[in-house]
Parts: sequence; C-alpha cells; structure tokens
Amino acid sequence: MPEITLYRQVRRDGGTRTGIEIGTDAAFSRFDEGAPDRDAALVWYVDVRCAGPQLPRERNAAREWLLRHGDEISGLLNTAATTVPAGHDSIESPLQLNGQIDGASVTIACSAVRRIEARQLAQILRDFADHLRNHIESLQALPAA
Amino acid sequence: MPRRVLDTNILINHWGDQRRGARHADVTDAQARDWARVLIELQGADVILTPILIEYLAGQRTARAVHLARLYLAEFQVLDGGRISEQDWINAQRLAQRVPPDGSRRQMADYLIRAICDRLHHDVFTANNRFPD
Repeated sequence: MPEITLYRQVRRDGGTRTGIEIGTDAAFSRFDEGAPDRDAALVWYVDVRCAGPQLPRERNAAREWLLRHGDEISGLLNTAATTVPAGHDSIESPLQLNGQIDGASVTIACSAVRRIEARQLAQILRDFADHLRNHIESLQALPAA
Repeated sequence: MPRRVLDTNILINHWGDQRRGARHADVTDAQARDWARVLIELQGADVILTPILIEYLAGQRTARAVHLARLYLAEFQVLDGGRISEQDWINAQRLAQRVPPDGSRRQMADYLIRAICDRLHHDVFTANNRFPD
C-alpha cells in the first residue's frame, strides 16, 4: 500500500530537517543549518504518516496530494495540539492522532525529549499547521536512489 | 522513513517496556522481532548505526539475551553498513575534546554516532541527556 510521510524535526543545535518520504524513497528534503557547533540529537519531531491504496506513488504527485489536502492536514495537526496531555512522556510513547483524508489513513505522530513541556509541544504542532504549505513548497527533490 | 536514527537507549527502553520483567528464557524469538517492529512503527524510523548495534549487544549478560538482541536488532537497518570512515573518527575525536561544563566523562559511542549522523545527513533520536553538547 502506498505510504507518504511528511516530517519535520529539530535538533539541539537548532538545525531543522523537513522532508517527504514515499515508501522507502527519500523524495524531498530540506535542512536548515543550526549553530556552527553541530549537534545531531533531536529535540522533537512531527510526522504526518499517510497510507492508503489511492495515494500517489510518484514524487511530484505525492507532494501535490499533500498540498491539495493541506487544510485537512493542518486541521489534524491543530487537533493534535489540543490533545497533548500535561506531563506526557512523548519520548517513549509518541503522541499519536489518527484521521482520514480522501480515503487515506493519516496519523499525526509527535515526540519530544523530556525538557519539552506539553504546551511547547502544542505550539510546535500549531506552528507546523500554520506553515505547512510553505514547508512543503520549500522542499528540494533529492536524487532518486 | 524520516532521516532519524534511533539511539541505543531508545532500543533498550522499548525492550524493557515490552518485556515487563519477563525472563529472557520466556521471551520467544517471534516476540523479539515483533517488539522491534512495534518500535519502528511507533517512532516511524528503522535506522540504527554500527556503534548503536555494538553498544546494545555489549549490554547483554547471557547467551540467550544476546540471541534475542540479535533478532531484535536484525529488524533495523544499519545505516553506515559497518563502514566508519576516517573522517568519522577525526570528527568524533574533535568533538570528544570539548569538555562539558560539569567536567563529566563522555562515551566514545556518542561522539561516533554524532559524527556518522553528520556524514550521512541524519539526526539521532535519543533519551540520553548526556549526548554530547
């Protein structure tokens, strides 16, 4: 079954990686550098994991699908933001919210190191929702494997 | 899957959560594999590195535990394929020379993981607060 994952993750050095994976194909990515002293340890990540028989398998079509359903994905991200429980230990058990978009199952998964509080996690999800289109459009195609 | 490496402590903690105190003798081979798949599904990542693999194996105390660990680890992709470059060692050494403010001892694997991640454009998901800053 086709799977598309849109993800965004931030490192301790402030570096931010955003990408789209289509199955095992790392199709699009963007890395914004952080501090000069590089530190690859993550502070948080958010995944939008989509799976469904009707999902496109071709790279540009997959990105278009995400853009076309951007409002619905943002809606799920905002809903997830309202459900972050106080004191949730998301490093062991990522916060997950399931939904359906255009016949595909969509899971929002979010995890953070312990120093991130629930309200910060909620803000991270809302920020991703607010800038979803920009994030998707700014991605660069990676060489095909 | 996202460019995210699962650190040793994430693998260990998940194993412990799944095992819930059961003896290794009571854990089946199928469970060892299944628990790895659960973690991959949960974290959306199936990538580890050679130092993580070695660190995990080195923490096992019995032959049965090593056997189960090998099955568990086999479900993950070893991103570096066992090839650690000269540049990785140089970068790890450079990072290790930075003394943290509290002067605490550092672990070689943490620096090597960080150096390999930089080379292969991945980030590492870790519960380790002592992962080198």
